Amino acid sequence: MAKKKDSLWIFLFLLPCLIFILAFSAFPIIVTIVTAFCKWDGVTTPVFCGLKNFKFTFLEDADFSIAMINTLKWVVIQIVVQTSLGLIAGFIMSREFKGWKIYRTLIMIPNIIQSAALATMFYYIYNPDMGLLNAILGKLALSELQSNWLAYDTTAFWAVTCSWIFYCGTVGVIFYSAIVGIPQSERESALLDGCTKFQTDVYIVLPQLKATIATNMILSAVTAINMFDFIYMLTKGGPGNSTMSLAVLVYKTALAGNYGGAMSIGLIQAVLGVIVVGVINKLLIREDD
Amino acid sequence: MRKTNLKKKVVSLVSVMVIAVLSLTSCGVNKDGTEGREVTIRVPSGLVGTHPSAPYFAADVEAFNEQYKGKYKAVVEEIPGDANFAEKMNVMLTSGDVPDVIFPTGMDYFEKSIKAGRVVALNEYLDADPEWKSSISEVGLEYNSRDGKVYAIPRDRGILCYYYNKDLYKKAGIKPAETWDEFWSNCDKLKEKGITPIALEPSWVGNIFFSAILASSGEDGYALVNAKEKPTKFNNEDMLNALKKLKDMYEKYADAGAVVAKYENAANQFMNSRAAMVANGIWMTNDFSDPNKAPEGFMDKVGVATFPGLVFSYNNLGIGIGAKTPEKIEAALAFVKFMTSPEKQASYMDTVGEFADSPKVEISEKLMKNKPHMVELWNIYNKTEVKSNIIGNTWYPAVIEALQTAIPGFVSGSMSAQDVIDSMEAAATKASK
Repeated sequence: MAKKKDSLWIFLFLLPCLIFILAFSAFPIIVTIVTAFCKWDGVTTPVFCGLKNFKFTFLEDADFSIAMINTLKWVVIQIVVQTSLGLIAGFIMSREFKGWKIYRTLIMIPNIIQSAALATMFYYIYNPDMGLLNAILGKLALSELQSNWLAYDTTAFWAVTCSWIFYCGTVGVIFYSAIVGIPQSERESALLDGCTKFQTDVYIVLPQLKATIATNMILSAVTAINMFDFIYMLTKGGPGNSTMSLAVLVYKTALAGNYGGAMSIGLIQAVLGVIVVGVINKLLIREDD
Repeated sequence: MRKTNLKKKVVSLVSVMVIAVLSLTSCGVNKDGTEGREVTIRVPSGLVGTHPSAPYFAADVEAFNEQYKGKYKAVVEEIPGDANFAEKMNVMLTSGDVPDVIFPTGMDYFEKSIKAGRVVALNEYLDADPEWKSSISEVGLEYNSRDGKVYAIPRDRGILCYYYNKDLYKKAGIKPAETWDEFWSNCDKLKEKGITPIALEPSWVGNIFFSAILASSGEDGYALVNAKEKPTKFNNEDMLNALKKLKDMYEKYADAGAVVAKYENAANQFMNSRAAMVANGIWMTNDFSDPNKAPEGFMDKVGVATFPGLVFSYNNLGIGIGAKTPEKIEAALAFVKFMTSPEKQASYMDTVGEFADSPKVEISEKLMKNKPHMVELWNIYNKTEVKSNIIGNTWYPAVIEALQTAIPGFVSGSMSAQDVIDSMEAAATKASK
C-alpha cells in the first residue's frame, strides 16, 4: 500500500517535467523519426521514401563514415580526458585547501563563457600570422613547430579538440560533491590504520565513485556526440572533411536542402548516443549499485 | 437544463471575445479622407541595427507609413545579422509562417517556397500598372520569374570589382592589369616590394576571385560560372586549371592565414594597407570613408578596377509577397511598389551604393560627386564586353561550402585538385537529390 502511495507521489512530482518534455521534445523527436524516412526539402510536403535516406547515408555518403569515426574518436577522447581531469579536480577541491573556492570558480569559467566566444578566441589563437600559439612557439625558439593549425588535416583535428577538451569544470564539481558526500569517518579510519591520503583516495574513495564516474562519462560522451559549435566555427568540418562530426554533417546536409537526409543522420546520431550510454551503464553500473 | 446553461455561457463568452477583438481593432481616417481599417503588414528585415543600410531602410519604411497613414502600416520585424536573417527567413518559409513581405535571402528557399505556393505571382498586378512594369528591367523580371510568373520585384543588381591601394601600386610601379599574365606579374612585383598582393579569405572574397579565374579560363569554365541550371559536374580542364591558379594565389600572393580567414580579416587587411587588393562590391566604399573602419583619407588611396577581360554583373532577387488575404496583398503590393520605385532605387544607389535595376534610373550628378568609385566602375562596366555571374549565385550553396572547406587542405597539399572536384561533386549530388 505504502509502495503504491510512493509511486503516486513520484508520478506527481515527475508530472510537470513530463508535460514539458512531451510538449517541447516529443513533437520534434516524432518529426525527426518520421521525416528520416521521407524525401523532404524542408519546404514542400515530405514524401515517404522508405530506407532510401539511410541507404544513401551508409552506402554513398563519403562524409558519413568520416563523421562517424571522428565522432567516436571525440567520444573516447572526451570520456578519457574530461573524466580523468574532472576526477583530479574533484580530489584537489575535496582537500578544501586555502583558496579552493577560487580554484573552483576558475575551472568553471570556461563552462560559463559562450562556446561561440571561446571558439572565436581559439580561432585567433591558432591564426598563423598573428596567433598567440605561433607567437609563443616563436619566443621559445621553436619556430619549426609553428603551423597553420586549422589548415592542415594533420593538425586541424587536434587543434579543434584542444579548444574544448580541457573544460572539466562541471565534471570536476560533480566529482567534488560525490567525494565530500562520502562519510569522513571512513577516510579517518583508513588514515588511522596507516594509509596515506593518496592511498585513502585510491582504495577507499575511488571505488565508491563508480556511479559518479559513469554519470560523468555519460555526460562527456553526450557532449562529444552533440559537439557542433566549436567544430563549425573553427573549421566547418574541414580541411576537406578531416574534422567532420555527425552534428556538423546534419547541419550541412540540411543546408544542402536535404532535410530528410539530415534527419536520418540525426536519428543515427541519437541511436549512437543511446548505445554509448547503454554500454557505459552496462560496464559501470550494476543493478545493486 | 444544464445544456441550456452551457449554451448560454458559450454564447456569452463568444460575444465578449468578439466585442474585445472589435474594440482592439484600430479604425481610422485614411490620408485621402476615406474611413477604414488600417491594414498592417509584417516586414521581416535584416537591414536593421548596425547594417550599413539600416538608417536608409528605416527612413523608407517611415516614409511609406506616412504616405499611407490610416490605410496601410508596415511593421518591421528586426532580425539583425545577415546569417541570422537568412536562417530566420528559411525557418519562416519552411514552417509556413510566411511574412506578408519577403526579402529573399537565397535562391534555393525562394524557389522551394514558390513551388509550395507560398509566394504570390505578380503578373496581373504588373499588367494592371504598365508604368510600374516599365520601370523594371526585363532581365531583372526574368530573373525573378519561374514558368512565366513573376514572383519578386528587383530593386538593384550586382556589379563587382576589385579595389587596389594606389600607394602600394605606385611603390611597386604597377597599374591595374589588362590581362591575367599582367595581373600575376603585378602580384610578383608587389611581393618583391614586401607587400602582400591580395587580401583573401575563402568565402565571399575568395569566391569572387575564383569566379573571375574560372570564367576566364575557357568556354567550359565560363559556362560553369554562368550555368542556368545548378551544375553537378565540375570535372573539366578549365576547372582543374582554375584550381591550380587558385592554389597559387593562396600560396604565393596572400597571407598564410588567408585559407581560414573570414571576410572581416580580409577587409581589415586591405583597409589598413596591409594588402594591395581586395575584391568586393561597390558598397565597400562606404567602409573606406568610415573612420571606425579605415584610417582618415583612405578613400582617396583606393582605386577601382575589374578583372582582366570581364566584369561581374548579375541580377538580384527582389522583394516578394507572401500575404494571403486580398487586403494584405494589396498593402504588401503598395509596399513593394514604393520600395522598388525608380526614385527609391536612385536614392538607394546614392546612399547605400547598390546599382539600381530600373532602366529609368540614371547616375546623377550628386552621385558622381559622392561616389566616384561607383562612377568609375559604371564606366568600366559599360566598356567591358564580357559580363559574367559569380559562382555564389549559380552553384548550390553546399558546393560553395565544399569548395571553401576544401581550400585549406588543397593549399596545404593534403588534397589534390581532383579531390576538391570530387568533394564538390559529392556535395552537388547530395543537394540535387
